[in-house]
Amino acid sequence: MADAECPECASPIAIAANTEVGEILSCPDCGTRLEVRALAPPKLEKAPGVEEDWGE
Amino acid sequence: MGRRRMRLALCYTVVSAENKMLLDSAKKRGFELERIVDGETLLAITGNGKKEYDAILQRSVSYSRSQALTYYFERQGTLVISSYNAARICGDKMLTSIEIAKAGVPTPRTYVALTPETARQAAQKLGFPLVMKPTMGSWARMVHKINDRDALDAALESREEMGSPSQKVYYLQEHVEKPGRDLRAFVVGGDVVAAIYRHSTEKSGWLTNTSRGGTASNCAVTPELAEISLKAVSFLDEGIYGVDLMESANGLVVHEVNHTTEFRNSSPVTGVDIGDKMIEYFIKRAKR
Repeated sequence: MADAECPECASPIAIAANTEVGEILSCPDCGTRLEVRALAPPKLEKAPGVEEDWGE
Repeated sequence: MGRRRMRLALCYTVVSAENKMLLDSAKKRGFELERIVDGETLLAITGNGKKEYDAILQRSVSYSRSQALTYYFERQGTLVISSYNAARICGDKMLTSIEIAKAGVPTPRTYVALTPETARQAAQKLGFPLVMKPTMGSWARMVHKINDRDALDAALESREEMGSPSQKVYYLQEHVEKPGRDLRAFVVGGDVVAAIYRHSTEKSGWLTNTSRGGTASNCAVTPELAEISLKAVSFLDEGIYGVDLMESANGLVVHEVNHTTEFRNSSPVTGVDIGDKMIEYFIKRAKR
């Protein structure tokens, strides 16, 4: 388990061992959706917003 | 001479819970799926056209990206599940409704209008309440239950003033009075492997989508449910689909078919490892 920092509110965020690059996490403090961009070291960026044509 | 290792890939926009489950299932079955991140992929349109992958499980959440990538890889000779043609139909509610109706599958009465004036004509034919949806998109975004003419006018004006061109295609459907729930059936190849009830809640309002706060519970796959669900995908290439149904006064009706169906909330309540069923089928098709 490693720690990263929320790019929005700077809160520490724990990164679980099985986390994948490209996974979406939510900041437990400010709720921002974050995309895991790298793991070693962990790097988080604000996740892309849901687009009009997104769906299942 | 040893057999060449199959190149299997998962195509996605983000690593969702479903995608993690699919990657894990493949690994447990001895297959490491290569990853195609749609937004990071460069398509060499005038390249050598050589086949890169044997099979791709297409899980892009973006309709536009999915269409581009699926067409590109299919033209290289790669098996893509679900296919370009299937995704094109499922990703557009108007096309889906046309095909469902042509296949003789019971479905709510539906009109598509291209202007507010003709949308009002559709409302006169359907009566209120009715349901208005965009033809594109999912997770119940912009899906509105319209109770009267005033609400219809407000919704139409909002879309005319603020909507994109595709949101000005008005898909209007009869509102089916349902018992606080609807159904989703998971079709994998020629089988309905599981089904859930999706219940509306205080949070989801009249909607039942789990993405909007609806809840899931197990639904038995009866012969009637299996028959109508398979008929609802009979016009599509064999693949993996989520069929949405409602219990109307006249029996089950199908209103949508999804080509990248989500299942994170469905496996726990059905007791069926839906992701693993998908992977099992995907590998079987890749070997064919």
